[in-house]
Amino acid sequence: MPYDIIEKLKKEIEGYRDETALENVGIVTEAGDGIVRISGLSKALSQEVLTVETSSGDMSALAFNLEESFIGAVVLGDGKVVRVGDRVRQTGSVISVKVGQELLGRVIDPLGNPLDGKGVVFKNPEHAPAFPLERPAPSVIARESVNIPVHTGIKAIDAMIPIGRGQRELIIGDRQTGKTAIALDAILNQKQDKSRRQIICIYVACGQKNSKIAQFVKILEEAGALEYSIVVSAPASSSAAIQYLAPFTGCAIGEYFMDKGQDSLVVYDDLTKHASAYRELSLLLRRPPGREAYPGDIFYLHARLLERSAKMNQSKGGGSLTALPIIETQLGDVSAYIPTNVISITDGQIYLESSLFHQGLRPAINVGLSVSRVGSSAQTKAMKKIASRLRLELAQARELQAFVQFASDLDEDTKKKITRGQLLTESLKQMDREPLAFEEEVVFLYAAINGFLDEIPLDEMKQFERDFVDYLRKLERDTILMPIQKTGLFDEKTEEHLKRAIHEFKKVRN
Amino acid sequence: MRHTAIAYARAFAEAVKEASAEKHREIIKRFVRVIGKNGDLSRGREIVNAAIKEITKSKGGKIVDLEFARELPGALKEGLTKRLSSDDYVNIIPNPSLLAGVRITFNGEEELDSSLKRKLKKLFV
Repeated sequence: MPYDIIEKLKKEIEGYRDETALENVGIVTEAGDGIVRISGLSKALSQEVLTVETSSGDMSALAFNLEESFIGAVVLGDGKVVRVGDRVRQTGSVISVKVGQELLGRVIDPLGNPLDGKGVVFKNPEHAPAFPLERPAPSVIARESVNIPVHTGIKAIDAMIPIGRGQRELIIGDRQTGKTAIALDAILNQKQDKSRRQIICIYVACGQKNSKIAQFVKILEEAGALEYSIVVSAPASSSAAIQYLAPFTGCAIGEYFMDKGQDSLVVYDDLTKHASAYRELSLLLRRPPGREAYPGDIFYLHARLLERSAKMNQSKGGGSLTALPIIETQLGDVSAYIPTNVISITDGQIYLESSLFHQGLRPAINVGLSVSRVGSSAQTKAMKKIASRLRLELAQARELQAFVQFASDLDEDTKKKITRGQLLTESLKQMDREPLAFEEEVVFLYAAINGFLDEIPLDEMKQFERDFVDYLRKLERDTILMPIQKTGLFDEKTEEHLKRAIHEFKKVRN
Repeated sequence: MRHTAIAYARAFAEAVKEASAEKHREIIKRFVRVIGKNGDLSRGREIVNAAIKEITKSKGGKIVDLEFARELPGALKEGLTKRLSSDDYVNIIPNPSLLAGVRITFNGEEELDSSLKRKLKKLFV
């Protein structure tokens, strides 16, 4: 054994001072299913981290229920090692997570421990600030209205359901309708949205399959998006307590960046499973069950989480925290308990429909039921100018489409409107993991809405889009794309250039 | 309705307080019968512990758990108990996991731990 280790140990033993004093202590009176009941510790705080001294070492627990004669706590780890009679001590600190720039590119668990095998997260953890998982939402005075867009790279969303920095936009739909794909595209697209401050993306996987999380991380890594992203992983195999904490950890990390004046985007995938985890904990803690056996504070659970999303005013640094919660519905039932709760909390929803998905419409967004309450104030002027007619034309076409099934002969005007509706629908189709830069969306949608694509057969639309965008990237970058990207405007000069470019491209293509 | 152990304990403590010393034995019998009738015998230990705590508290005493690493001789046990207040409820528990020394717990809430186990833990953790 090296001499310095022995010396160090010797010094520690020499410097050891033991002063026995009265300490507060609790005793485990019941243990099971990751829940412990503790007698004593009458001065414990709500959400305080407790230390359970088990035969296999110290284990952390979180004080949940503070009752007259006992504390109900959830074990943050393997609950099987806790035995009745084990001693419990207070730590004096509420649950928190270490935050810092070093988290970027890392996959962590909700307690901040690394899961990606890349070693410790912080070189000097004592210097990293600890952010509490539960924190009051910013006050009204500290906020300002949402007016800067978060471009998702998805044409249908950026044009018709714009999301702003500091907004809470729900992504809702049945299983296998592309909810996570939208969130993934939004994260990937932040790499190419260069005209604004880089958004730090935090993906919270709550109750997801490990394989899905691994695939998600791999895609981010391959696309170079992991360098501005953080993944908080609480897979389905983790305990209900860990799943419950995951969204709060993601939110605390997002708040760190927001407080620094940066912009962050947190994806909560998904809050349905989060609600289930909370229900499990609440039932085990013997809290009274309410509708669908959820506890009475299930609304408050999600409201207090999502209210922490905000756009701060300039005196508070001007940072923002955008939330994209995901909710999975059963057979398209948006009127179930948890979906209606979260719909009412958020500032709009993107509703995905299985039937549209199976018709080949990707992303399968139901434009009629989807809405963004922030509206066009979170759109650039260029997009606002182009997209204002889009929603109306699509709605008209959808309405007429319903009559087509019964009518045998249609007048020219109706036929034209239906054809245009089909064309616009086709132009909004987009494969996942192919987000478009905002300026490219503007030019393509301009072409579609203004009738420049009317003669393109529907089955050639996708190829046309790819070639057209490629053509503009190569030949019209400085005249069309860059001015839109830099200024966010679509002025007459750029419009003239674009009209010319469309005609020239069509000639080249033919 | 399922009663909590505390509710049983408080009711029992009050019944004992109000009754004369001769009736105490009868009250204990009735108390056990009520617990049995309510189907709560499986929680007997919890209820008895709560009742002991409640009665000791009502007398102004403390529940004192004295844990020693080894079994104490009977005379020493007796001597220790006598030195504490007669209102206190004293448990003397042998606990070999302490290795050496003593650990005293008051009312299951406050602890004075001068065991070797704690000292070693403090030194190495």
